[in-house]
Amino acid sequence: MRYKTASIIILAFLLLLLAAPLLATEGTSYFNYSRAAWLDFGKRVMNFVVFFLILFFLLRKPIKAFFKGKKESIARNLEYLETQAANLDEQNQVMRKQLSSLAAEKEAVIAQFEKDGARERDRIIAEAEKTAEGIVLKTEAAMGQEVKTAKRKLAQETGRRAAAIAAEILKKNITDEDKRRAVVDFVGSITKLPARN
Amino acid sequence: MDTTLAKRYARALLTLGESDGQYSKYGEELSSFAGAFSQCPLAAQVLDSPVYTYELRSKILDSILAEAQLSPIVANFVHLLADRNRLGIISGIAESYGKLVDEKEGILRGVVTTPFDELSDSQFSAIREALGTFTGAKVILAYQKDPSLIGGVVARVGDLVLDGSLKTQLKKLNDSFS
Repeated sequence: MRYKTASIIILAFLLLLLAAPLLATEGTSYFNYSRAAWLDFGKRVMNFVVFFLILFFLLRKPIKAFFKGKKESIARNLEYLETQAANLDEQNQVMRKQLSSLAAEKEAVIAQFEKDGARERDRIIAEAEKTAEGIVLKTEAAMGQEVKTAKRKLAQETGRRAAAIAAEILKKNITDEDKRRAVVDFVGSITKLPARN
Repeated sequence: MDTTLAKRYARALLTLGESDGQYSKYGEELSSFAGAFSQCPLAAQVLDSPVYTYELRSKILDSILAEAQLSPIVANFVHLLADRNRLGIISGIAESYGKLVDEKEGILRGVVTTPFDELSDSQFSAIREALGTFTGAKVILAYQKDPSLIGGVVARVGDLVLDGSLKTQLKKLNDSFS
């Protein structure tokens, strides 16, 4: 640290020394400058040195502290970022693992869905077949009932028409002899009945 | 009409008739008076109305009974009905009385129905005798014509129905197809 400070001071002094030749090159020779000029130059150098030293001793610690703080801050940031990077890397590993397990899970879910779907399909088909069978049985029963009803209605209609035709024929062809015989038959049927008391 | 009440009055009059042996006569008188009474609603209205005094109604009834020339028992019976405001059921009483007399004498009333215009006396008698033998009662028949029977005879005596009509036989034929 001391070497650093000394080298800075020496470097500043050399810079001042370099300024003299540069000033001397302004139209005249180095040896042609007057004593007053050299004195002025000396005062300026002294002024600069004093000013430099004042600045150096006043600003050395704050600047040092500033840069030290900056360095520590950067170090902390770096450390934090490294931690973060490590965490992210870890998370990345976890995510990759999860992704691989999700892929396996996806396969398992798809397989389960396919299995459930096949089972549901079989169930629906079985149910539909059962329902269809029931419908066929009901239809057959209904058809049987309809046929029975139709037969009964046909028989009733036949009976009704037969009775109507018979009635018409009897009305047209009934004779006095038939009337007489009807009364005789009626009386005969009563006499055949057992007495009520 | 209150048949129970009518039957009770009829039975009371029959008891009186049985005691003096003139129940048949009383029945005829009561029946004819009830028929006349039912054909004259104004008289029934006046005799049953409390608007007119009892004396006035009694006088009117006396004059009617004198005109009808009823037996004293029947006349008193009608008076009793008037006193109790029961003249409105006299038709029912007469009907119940007739049934009670028929029951007492073993008479069954009935109706013979045929699709023919008439039955000869011999046919009518044959049916009546057959029914009398079958029921064991004296049968009194009325004749009724019903062309819808087509042929044959239907006899209704009391609660008994003997149906020998072609209409019923054809109905049975029709039912046999069902």
